[in-house]
Amino acid sequence: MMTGFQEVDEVIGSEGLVEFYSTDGELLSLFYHRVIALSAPVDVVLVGERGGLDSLLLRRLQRTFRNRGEVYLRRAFKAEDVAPTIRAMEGEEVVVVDPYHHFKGYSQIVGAMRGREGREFVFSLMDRERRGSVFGLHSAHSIFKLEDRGRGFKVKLIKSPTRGEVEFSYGKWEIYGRYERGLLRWIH
Amino acid sequence: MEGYVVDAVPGRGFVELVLDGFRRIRVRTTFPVYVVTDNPELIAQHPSVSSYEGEEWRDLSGEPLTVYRFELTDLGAYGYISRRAEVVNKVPTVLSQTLFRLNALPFRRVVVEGQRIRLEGKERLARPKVKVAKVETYDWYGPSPDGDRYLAEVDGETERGFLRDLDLWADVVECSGRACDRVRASVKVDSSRKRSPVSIWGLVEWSYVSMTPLREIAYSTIGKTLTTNEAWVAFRRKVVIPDVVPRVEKRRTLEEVRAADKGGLVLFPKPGCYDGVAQVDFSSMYPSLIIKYNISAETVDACEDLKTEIGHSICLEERGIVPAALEWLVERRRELRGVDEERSQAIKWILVASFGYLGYRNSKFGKIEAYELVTYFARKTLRRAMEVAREEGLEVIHGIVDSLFVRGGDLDEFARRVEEETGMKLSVEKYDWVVMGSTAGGRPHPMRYYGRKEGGEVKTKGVERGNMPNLVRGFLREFALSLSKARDCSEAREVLRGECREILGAYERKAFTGEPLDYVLWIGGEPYVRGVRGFYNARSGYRGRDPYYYLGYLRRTWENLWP
Repeated sequence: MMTGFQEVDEVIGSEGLVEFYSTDGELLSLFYHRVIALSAPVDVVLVGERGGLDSLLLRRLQRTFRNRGEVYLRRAFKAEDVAPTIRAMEGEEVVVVDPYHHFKGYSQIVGAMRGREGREFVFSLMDRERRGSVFGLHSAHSIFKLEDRGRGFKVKLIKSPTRGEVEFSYGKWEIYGRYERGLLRWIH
Repeated sequence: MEGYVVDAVPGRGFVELVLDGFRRIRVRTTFPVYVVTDNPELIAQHPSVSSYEGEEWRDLSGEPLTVYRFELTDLGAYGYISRRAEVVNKVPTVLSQTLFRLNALPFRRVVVEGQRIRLEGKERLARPKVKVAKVETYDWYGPSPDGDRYLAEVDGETERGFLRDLDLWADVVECSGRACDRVRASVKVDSSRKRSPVSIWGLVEWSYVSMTPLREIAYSTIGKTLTTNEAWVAFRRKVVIPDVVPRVEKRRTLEEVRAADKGGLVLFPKPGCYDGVAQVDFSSMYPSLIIKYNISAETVDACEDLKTEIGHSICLEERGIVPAALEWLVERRRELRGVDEERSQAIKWILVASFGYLGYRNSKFGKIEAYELVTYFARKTLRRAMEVAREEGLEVIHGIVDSLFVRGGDLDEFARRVEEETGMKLSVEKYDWVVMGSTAGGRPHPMRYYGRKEGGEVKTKGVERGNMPNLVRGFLREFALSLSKARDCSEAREVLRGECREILGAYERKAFTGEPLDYVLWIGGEPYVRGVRGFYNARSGYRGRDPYYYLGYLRRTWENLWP
């Protein structure tokens, strides 16, 4: 699995459990769509009653990155479904989207992620500063916080066994695989 | 003593049955609680446990399991035990299970002889002979818990008056606000706490079919009533139902999910007026499909007796819990139709919810794959019906999930063939003309149509909304009444240009000169009026209106009426 952002991927290396969190749902969603598109074939666990994955955006990103790998999906609709669904994923690499959506069953969910063999990228909408506190901190190898900065965004390294605090800035257009602002420069 | 069971009150070592006419009788009993435990002796030490017994049950996947049935002398111990042990099959409720064992089921006629109860089950369709009433208080803007006037419906009779004069008793009463303090009843249902769309007789019917005391389902959702019906099937089969049923969805590719996770088929009709149209409805389509294809959480993907194109299969070895529960509800609705529309509608609501509940995350008997199968078969059935229509020379004007609008060709032969090929019942309704509506931008609006049925009544769908001002709703009612004179599209056009225009004019004047009640609109259960400074809550009193808002609303509604 990879984010496609060289600096971030270097920090992650081949770590087993990596968490990305943000309070900005739109940014987090764009980011994990990119990760899934780049990492396919990959298993994805979607937590929530509905939505979570924009299939058109995903296909568009897969075309951009020239990756036609399959995206395998399992949805966990209620809190009690999350842990068994994560455990049931057979793939080596799993992306888990919003596992703490229901704000309960944290121990079982973290336990299921730790109990799996292979790598997991977790994308969480939980605001760790406000309500997430230290949950799962000990389990994740690296934790990144995504922050919206208008036309760009920051990826802050919150926890890593190898690096100190560091942050990387990117333009939003880079999520879509572009390397410059393009026509947007004439609009802003 | 004999009579209809209206309510039941559990006591220590007994249950007090409340029969019609406020009669009460105590019957000795214990209360059963089912627990999955390795150490039944420990639970048996609770002073309220009179005895226990191990029974061989099975779980949802069919694996055998030992369940212990503890007999409690006091229902107060139920909470204590369920907090400390794994109590299963909480639905049907303990009280319902107790009444079931005693033969004292709600709204059935019973004969109590000493401690024995005999069920008199001859009047299956007739209304139970209990006194049922509904009382509402009113203020100037409509129903209000603080109103001074009341409107009561008792056994089909309507009474009105001032609340201070209200003196009413009945076995079951639905009431709101201050009216509840002024009526005497064995069971009172507070309208403001109700979460179901059915009338008080509908609730009585729900209590009857789910074999659960009215008090226990009065404030529950349709889902609980449906679940209770399904849980009775599981209970009879000795299937353990845990409190929460975790589900793991099948691993599929994104494309597979996209192909399977769809709703029913909806066509976009060309806006306009059509003469000589028939609406062909599949009766209770979704429940019928669930029954026909044996769709239930435990039958889907259990074996491959029936494979489908969306990747799911169905096991036909054993009747599923959901189809078994729905089968008798569909039958009961069919029997009640024409006998008692109010109670038939209550059953219809359960059937309507039965499909959606299959995919609901907290459903005990559903899972997403089962939900997807129902919509898959629904789309397939409607498509087949459209093909048959074309083969029989009928023009398909519109299709909405379980209903087709067609014209021309051999309608009887079409209906016969569709029933034969799909194995489902059809109902055919003929219209002299139908108008297929459009959006404000002129695009087709699949859920908006109206037309004159044979016999003269105008049926509208998606035209009147619950949050429209009374003024606009009044206009739409008069509009429909006026159009009922038109026998075809050309006459409808004439009526529209003539009489309907005049009605519009009258209502446009009313926007300036109407009564305060005309300006009220209900949003989220609250009455509002649009004043010159914006909306205000009508409960705070009438403080004028903005006539131009109502005028604009009327004109927008009018413009969308004819595409």
